[in-house]
Amino acid sequence: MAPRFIPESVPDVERCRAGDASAIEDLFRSYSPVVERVIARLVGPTPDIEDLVQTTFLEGLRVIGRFRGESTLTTWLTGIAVHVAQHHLRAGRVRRHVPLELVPEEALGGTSGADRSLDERRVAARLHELLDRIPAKQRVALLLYSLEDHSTREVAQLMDATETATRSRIFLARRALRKLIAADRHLSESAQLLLEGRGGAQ
Amino acid sequence: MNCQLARRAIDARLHDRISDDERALLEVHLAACAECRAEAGSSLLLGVLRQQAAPKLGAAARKRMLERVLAAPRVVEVRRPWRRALPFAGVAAAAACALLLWARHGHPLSAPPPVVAAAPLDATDMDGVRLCRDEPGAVSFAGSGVSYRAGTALTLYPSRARVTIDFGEIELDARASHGKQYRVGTPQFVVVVKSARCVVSPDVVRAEGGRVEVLDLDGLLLATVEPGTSWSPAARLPQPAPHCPPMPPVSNAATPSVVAAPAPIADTTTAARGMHALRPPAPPSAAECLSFARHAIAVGDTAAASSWTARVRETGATPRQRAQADLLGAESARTAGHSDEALAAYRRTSLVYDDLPEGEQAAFFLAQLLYERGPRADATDALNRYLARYPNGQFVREVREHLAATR
Repeated sequence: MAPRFIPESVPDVERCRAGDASAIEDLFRSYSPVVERVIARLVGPTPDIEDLVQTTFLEGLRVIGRFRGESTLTTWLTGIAVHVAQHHLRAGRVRRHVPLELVPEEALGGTSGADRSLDERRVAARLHELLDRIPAKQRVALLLYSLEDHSTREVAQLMDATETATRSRIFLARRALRKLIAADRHLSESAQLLLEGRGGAQ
Repeated sequence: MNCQLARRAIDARLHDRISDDERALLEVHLAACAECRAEAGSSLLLGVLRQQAAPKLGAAARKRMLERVLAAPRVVEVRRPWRRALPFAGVAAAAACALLLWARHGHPLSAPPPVVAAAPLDATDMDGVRLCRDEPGAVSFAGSGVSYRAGTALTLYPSRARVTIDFGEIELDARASHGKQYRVGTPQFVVVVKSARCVVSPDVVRAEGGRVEVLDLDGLLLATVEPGTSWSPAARLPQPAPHCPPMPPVSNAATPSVVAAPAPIADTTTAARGMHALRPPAPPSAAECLSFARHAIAVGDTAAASSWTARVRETGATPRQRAQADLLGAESARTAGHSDEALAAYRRTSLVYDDLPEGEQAAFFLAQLLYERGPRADATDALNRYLARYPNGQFVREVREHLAATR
């Protein structure tokens, strides 16, 4: 199950519907951390995160009249964030930061801890590049399940899909990722090192 | 520990829910199983992503966003109960129009058959129909236009906005289709077209009015073809090219050029004629047949998928491949909307291959399909049977959730 997000305060939905600026500000301050985290997880490192978070809130405020309180505001806003991220990924507009290979290593420090962190960041950057090649729905389903700890039922609800379709998407995404990793020398070596060096522990 | 338990343990390890005993057993299994080792490696890499903190925006960025959110013009959509009645109003209006027309012109069945326009051919009612043309022509296709050159063989699926080409070349113009997405399948790749015009053959994709995407048969993105550029599979896909599903003889003046799609099994008597002479002579392997079946399901060609899965058994397939073929056969029936047939196929696969992962998947999909039909006794039975047979299976959590929901 996904870790439960407890907002700092509970915003007044009725006042948000009426366009009350203080209620909207309350909503934004309470829920922007969770929206930010979900979007950053799904689209990876990109300078577009700010735009996507903003789009999620604008879209949420546009359709807040349809919010019936059948789920929590967190779930409802997460669902909107998932759709915004998915739309962004499907449009193929993901911009990535400068690859880490181009950043001089001395600029990032030379201690073993820093090296390890740099390695992990390189692996993460490369993984995101591979994930960009997996269809958006499959990628989003896999990341919500694997990184955000949602159950398949929760992922299905967030993506407006059936559980069978969700399981199928996760399965296909895993298979595709395995295939892509096998074809990538650097990541294959990293996976091998993780399997050997860490004895399977994460 | 077998592979099923290992996959479950790998999943549990990713979510930090693995016990020490399970971890030790997993290590032993991974030392001996290359496939699970690859899965474990992939999972560990995902673990690296999981451990990394998601990038956070700074206070300044948050302030900027809040200002823009507050400054944006507010248009709040509210629920309108009367909108629920709109579809019924539409149906009522259509029925009224039909009655009016009947009253004026008599029963539609008593009217003379409509004259089919010579060109372009209207493909609205031609779902699953294969065209073999030795002259160029055009088809009106699910709101878009498809023109084909001489010597093209294509199968149309207007209801799913899909078309498959076996050979030849087509031009699909979807610029006036209001954002509707079309798929053009070839034996090696699938082209996704949205508000664009493109030329597709099994050897090349050329975008001429908008961008199109090319996916491989597993659904992975191979290329995005920008307007005015071309993409060829030669550089990306292994050679030689796999088999095209075989085609009926090329039509001539004496035979109708529109024929129902036959089962795509090789017909050696026609292989030497015309375009069929270009086919590679070697029969496809079981793995290729499975790949074609997956592709056929992906493009919605369930008839072809059934034929390819049937073909797997003729190719000396391994038990695992036969199990995969049976599972794909069930999936194909399900995609085609034949749920009873799908249920029977899942049941059969789960019984015959109960010691393979495909058998477990079939048992779960059977239970899932029954569960989705409603909380009935047979669904509960199937869910309990799954738990009894696979107490540590990969779908145990979902099955328990379903059982809890049915109580």
